[in-house]
Amino acid sequence: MSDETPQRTIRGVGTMGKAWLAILAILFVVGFGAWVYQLMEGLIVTGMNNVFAWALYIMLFVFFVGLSAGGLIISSVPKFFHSDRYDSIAALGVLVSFACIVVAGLLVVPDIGRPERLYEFFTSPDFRSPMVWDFGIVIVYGAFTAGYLWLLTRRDLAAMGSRLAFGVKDTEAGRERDRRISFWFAAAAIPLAVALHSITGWIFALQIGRGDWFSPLVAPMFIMKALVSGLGLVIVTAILADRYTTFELPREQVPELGKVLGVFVAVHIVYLVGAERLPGAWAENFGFWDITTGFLVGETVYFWLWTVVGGVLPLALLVIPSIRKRVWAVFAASVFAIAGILFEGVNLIFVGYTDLYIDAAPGVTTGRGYVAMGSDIWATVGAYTPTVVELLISIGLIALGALIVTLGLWYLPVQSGEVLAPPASDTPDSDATVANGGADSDAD
Amino acid sequence: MSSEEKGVSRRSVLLGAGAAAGALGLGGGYVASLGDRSDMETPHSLENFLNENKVVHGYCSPNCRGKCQMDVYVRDGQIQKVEPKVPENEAYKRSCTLGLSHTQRAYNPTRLKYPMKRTDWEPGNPNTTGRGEDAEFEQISWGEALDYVADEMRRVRQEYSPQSVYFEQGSGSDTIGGTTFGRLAGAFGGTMKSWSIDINVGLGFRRITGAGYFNTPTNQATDIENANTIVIWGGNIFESRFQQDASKVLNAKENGAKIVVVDPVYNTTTAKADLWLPVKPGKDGHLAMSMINVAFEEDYLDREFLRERTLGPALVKEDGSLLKTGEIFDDGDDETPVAYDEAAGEPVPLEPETYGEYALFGEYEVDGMTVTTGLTKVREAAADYSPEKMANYVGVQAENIRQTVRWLGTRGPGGILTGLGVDRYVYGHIFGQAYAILLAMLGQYGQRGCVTGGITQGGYFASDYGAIEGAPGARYLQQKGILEALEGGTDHPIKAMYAMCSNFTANQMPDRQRWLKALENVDMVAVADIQHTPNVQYADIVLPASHWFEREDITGTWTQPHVRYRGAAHDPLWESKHDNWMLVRLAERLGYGEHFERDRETLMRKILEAETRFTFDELREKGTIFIEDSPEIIWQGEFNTPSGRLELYDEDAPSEKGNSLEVPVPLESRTRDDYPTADEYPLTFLQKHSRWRIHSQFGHMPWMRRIHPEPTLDIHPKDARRRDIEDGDYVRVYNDRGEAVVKAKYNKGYRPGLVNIDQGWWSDDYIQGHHNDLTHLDVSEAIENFAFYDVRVEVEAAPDDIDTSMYTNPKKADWLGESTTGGEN
Amino acid sequence: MTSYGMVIDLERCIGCQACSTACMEENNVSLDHIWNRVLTEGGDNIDTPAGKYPEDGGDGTGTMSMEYLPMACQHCDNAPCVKVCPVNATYTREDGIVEIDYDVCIGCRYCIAACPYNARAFNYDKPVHVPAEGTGNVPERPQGVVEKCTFCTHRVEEELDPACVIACPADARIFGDLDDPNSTVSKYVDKYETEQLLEELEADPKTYYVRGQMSPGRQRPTTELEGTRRKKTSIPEGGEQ
Repeated sequence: MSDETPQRTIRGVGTMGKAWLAILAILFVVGFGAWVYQLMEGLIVTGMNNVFAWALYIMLFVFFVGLSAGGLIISSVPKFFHSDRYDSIAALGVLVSFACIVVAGLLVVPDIGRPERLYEFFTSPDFRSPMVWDFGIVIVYGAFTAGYLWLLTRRDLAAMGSRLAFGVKDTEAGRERDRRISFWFAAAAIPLAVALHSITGWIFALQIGRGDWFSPLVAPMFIMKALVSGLGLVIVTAILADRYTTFELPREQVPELGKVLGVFVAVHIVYLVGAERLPGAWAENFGFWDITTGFLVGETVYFWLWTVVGGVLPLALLVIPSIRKRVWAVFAASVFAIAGILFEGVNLIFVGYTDLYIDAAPGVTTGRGYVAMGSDIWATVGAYTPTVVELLISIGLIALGALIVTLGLWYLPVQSGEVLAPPASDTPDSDATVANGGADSDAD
Repeated sequence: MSSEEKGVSRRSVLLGAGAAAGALGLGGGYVASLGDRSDMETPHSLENFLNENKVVHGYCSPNCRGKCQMDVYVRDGQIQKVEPKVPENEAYKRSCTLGLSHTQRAYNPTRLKYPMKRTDWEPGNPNTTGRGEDAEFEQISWGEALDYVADEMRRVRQEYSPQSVYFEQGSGSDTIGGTTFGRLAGAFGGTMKSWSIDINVGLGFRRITGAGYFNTPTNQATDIENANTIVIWGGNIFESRFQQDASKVLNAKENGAKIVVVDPVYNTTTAKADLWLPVKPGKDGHLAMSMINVAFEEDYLDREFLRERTLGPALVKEDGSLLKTGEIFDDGDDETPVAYDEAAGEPVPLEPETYGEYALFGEYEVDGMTVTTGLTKVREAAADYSPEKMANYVGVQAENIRQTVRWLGTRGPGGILTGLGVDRYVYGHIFGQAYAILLAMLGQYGQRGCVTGGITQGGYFASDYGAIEGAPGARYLQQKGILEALEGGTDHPIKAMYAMCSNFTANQMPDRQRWLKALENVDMVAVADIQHTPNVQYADIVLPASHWFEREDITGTWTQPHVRYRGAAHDPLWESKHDNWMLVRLAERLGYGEHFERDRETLMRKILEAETRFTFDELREKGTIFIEDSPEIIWQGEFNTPSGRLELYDEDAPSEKGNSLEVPVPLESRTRDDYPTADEYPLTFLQKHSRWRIHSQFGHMPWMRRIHPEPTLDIHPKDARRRDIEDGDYVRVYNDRGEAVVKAKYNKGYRPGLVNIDQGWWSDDYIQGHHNDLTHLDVSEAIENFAFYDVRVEVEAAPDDIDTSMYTNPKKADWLGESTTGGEN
Repeated sequence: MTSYGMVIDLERCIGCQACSTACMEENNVSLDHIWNRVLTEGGDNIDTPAGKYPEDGGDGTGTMSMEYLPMACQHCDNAPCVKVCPVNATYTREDGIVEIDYDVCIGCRYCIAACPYNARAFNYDKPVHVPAEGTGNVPERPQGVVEKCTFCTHRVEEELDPACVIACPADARIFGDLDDPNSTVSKYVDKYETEQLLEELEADPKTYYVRGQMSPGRQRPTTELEGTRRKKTSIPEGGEQ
């Protein structure tokens, strides 16, 4: 056991920290206000209509569900295989996962037309509906990550004398028991994560109504996209935490994680996307080049943002070891990968709602916009632009997620005392840490 | 009980979020509706509303000929919906999209609420140039309004003459108010109009058959199902006449009939055809002659019929007149024609409905005169119209012309179902004459399954309530003459005008700008209408009429054999009144009160006094009465012509452009390729009747305006692209009379060279201009029928600075969300 | 078992939108929506044909075509919307009609994602009517819930045919029990060439379209549900009015 008492990762808040918290708080409050406005006026204040019926909220829901995988995977898979190599970022990963699943779950609420009736998921669920299962798994996953996070930090919390230990004591036996329990948590985490992403994927994949969604590959792709974006987010958060807080990310883990990310990106973008597109492209086209372009060229601009920004660029940065060694390269690759996955979600929704099976004139009524005798309420294709209200609500909820991570870093000893050999205080060891100047000045 | 007092609590149930939210001071939406949950009965517990409805007899009565009977459902004093009513003869249960939308017409945002006077109009200082789109109005009382009208009418009668007051009855409604109106005009001695619209083909046809005016008569509608071949000519039955005719024509098709459609446009009717003859605009007469040519050449003549019932065998002298019995028999007269009896070898009188072995062809010598038969003259006239020769000219392949005649000639009873399309070319009457002859040659009159025109048999009630005994009677001017009188060019120029059920001057007349200018000579224009039409906007005195379902009424129909009654669903809204109410009080002011009846029910009883088949009470209870003596099959017995026979050779024929029309001589006006302005204005211009309007009615129904939101120009993509016009671009349609700015709509169904803007749009629906600013007043000498389709235009992209925001970016209408019951404005 | 279905004879349909209007009126539908749409199968614009205009005068019916397709909820037997509704707000009744309980609907719009026919409408805004008090016999739905054609269950329960069926001037719509082999709908599905839209998606709609040979259509002028007591007006006790 180390001599060091575990400490909270953020010891004090300087002006930058205060500013950060203030910005997040403002964004959250503004977002909340926008949501109240939306409750009063109804969903007419969004950009959605009867052709394009799910939009920004669901795009971001899908995105954040994916993001919430990475942290849990990185903390549980190595543990499951009895490796403590990544123990240092385990708790951070779970914290990020928790924040993401909370954001994801909350993002659905503004999309609901009559949110006061959400209790009906409990009183009259239909178990044929993937949404019921997704509701359940999101809640279970949220509870699980919260529990797992507590499990990983409770001994350290006890050692700090924090109230958040909830009466648990820091003992060697206790820690031993926790290590065993966390093995089982890790074991449970994997199927849970698989379930979460598959079920979320099946919300789309089972729908014959939106032809481009109906594919058996959607669920596996949701898992891969979760791995890519989740790992990317953990890497980004770890690097940022290493720079701005006492959290320390071992230097050699950066290219390692980068390599893993590279593999995930390759499997996802190169293999799965290819495997998904090939049958359709081959069957619909006759000439060799037509087949090839049908295969390579996507339907929307979001496709390019996804595959090029989220695929080609990260791979370029991660494939070559000499580049992968550099922190900025891995950081950049992670950011691109995350952005790419964001656009994958956007592309998914667009692809489902742009074309109609039966688009004969005059089309479908949009369900909005009747103001006068000359009004045109028709649409034969789906079109969507987010409104300010949608953006504010979404940003507000994302700010909430960032707040959760920040507060988690502030209140929890995210870095376990066992792993951290040198203390992170006055004389930072620049060999072992990623960034110097990691500790904020202690305002206590 | 007024509609406001009763059932307030119920209405709050229906209002839901609206009213309660207002009380809560919040916008609607989620929060407000949470609040009203306790007030509202749970929204989805489907109450048995059906039992709470009261059903009132109703019928729709615009100028579509259907007069479809309807059930009007009323709850808490408000019309909730209308449904087609099953009439006494159930085969005639029908109504159309427009009739079904009456709820929105009764509560329409454009309804007039109270009498108004144009603010810058005064008797003695009419300021006639102040009328128009920018005119403003102020509310006045009924007493004041009717005083103004009566005073002006009296003054004009004094200063000019009674005929200088024009009582304009439009075709907007079939109502007993029309009877009152005619009675008043006759009492006053004013001017009324007779038609210059839709009478071309009918009157041409009439020369041959003795019947026809608005379109042409045929058997009762149920008989259409028995036809073996139906040639729908110039009529878009399934769009403009579908209420009564659609199901019957479809049943005919299901029974095996061949449907041929003759139309320059591929439309809904064409889509159901077995054969389409895409005739070029204006060439219908030529096509009909070509068919006559085929009937001769391939010999589909019904010789028995021709001998018994037509002037086919009538002998024609070299000077073109018919040989009469008086010229060769001592006991003859100067009326009865003569035929050559081949069996007897001598000329004999040709009496109606009499068969004989009369010669149908040949030249004969009778009393030193060389004569030939009427049928020979027809054959000569058609000789140059062989299908092969005409195919290119009329735009129809020769084989298809032949096929049509073959079907008509060999498949048994059938015929030609005419629309009103051909009427709208200057010389359309010649087509009427020609097709009547074609059917005569094929024997297609007087049998079950024959189709001789577009007007199926109607039903009327007998009435002798009309003109007042001893009254001077009205002067009738055909509409072109009305224009001249408005312009001041006749003996009795029109100086005051009362228009009822009419949107003529400001919207529906051709060469609209000329009419609007002519109106400047009129000192007082009073307009009575249900809605604020363009015609109302040009008025000095505005009189709000009640909606049809707010008044009791009775009417017959000219296309289906029922007489019907409608009751009032509720009192007229606001200060609107039914026409009789207004006219009686006007009559009283003019001194004729004793001849008019204030009480509507008494009036209806008076109107029906002469009717012996049923009583008013019976009619009121049943709602509809089937007129059993309406003939099922017409053209039985003698024809109503001088000879009693079908006059396929017409010695009394008029002339047209120097052509004497004893036999048809197809003529064209603007549709000629060598017409003087053909290069400048290369496109022919239709204004078809769409399924969204009855003329200019039903245009402001929010339900249907969503499907057809704005005026469009139907144009073939080829014509459009040549002018750099994309689908959906705004374009300017123009000629030297005016313009209209509308949205282009690519439509491959239109022959390249032909464009269309649906008629009936109001002037305020246009971004700029109007379709009737493009039409003209040229008419034929014989008929004087307005030729709306005989027009040339050119089309170009609209200028960039045109303000299209009324359609591309409409502002929220101030009437949305407004309750329509109640008196505020 | 009862299984209500609709047969629409496209050879009879003339695209007049009477059915569309009658539905709007009967069900008090907001002006933002149309439950029952009549589409044009032909050119890119409503009421326009596809094909090439026969300028040479040839028989255009060979190359041009225009048909109308009235489309509302198809009331599928294997309805994807029923399966995806998380709270059982959308359910299939015993008589086969797919209905929405507006009190339960949470407005998640999953059913709109599920429906291949785009038959459903969500109330993004407060419903708006002319006249403001609404029309017809069905109360207004609140903002935030999904709505669609209900085969007029409120009428069917009173032994009346749906509003669109009695409004059609071409007699093109027939409603009845598909489980009854003697009903007109069963007979027509059997005898005429009928198709279900998007059949390959296996939603198994109970709306059948007749194409090819025209049927005699709906042969009753009166409003009652087939097989029930004859009614002339839509008042269940009204009888002979």
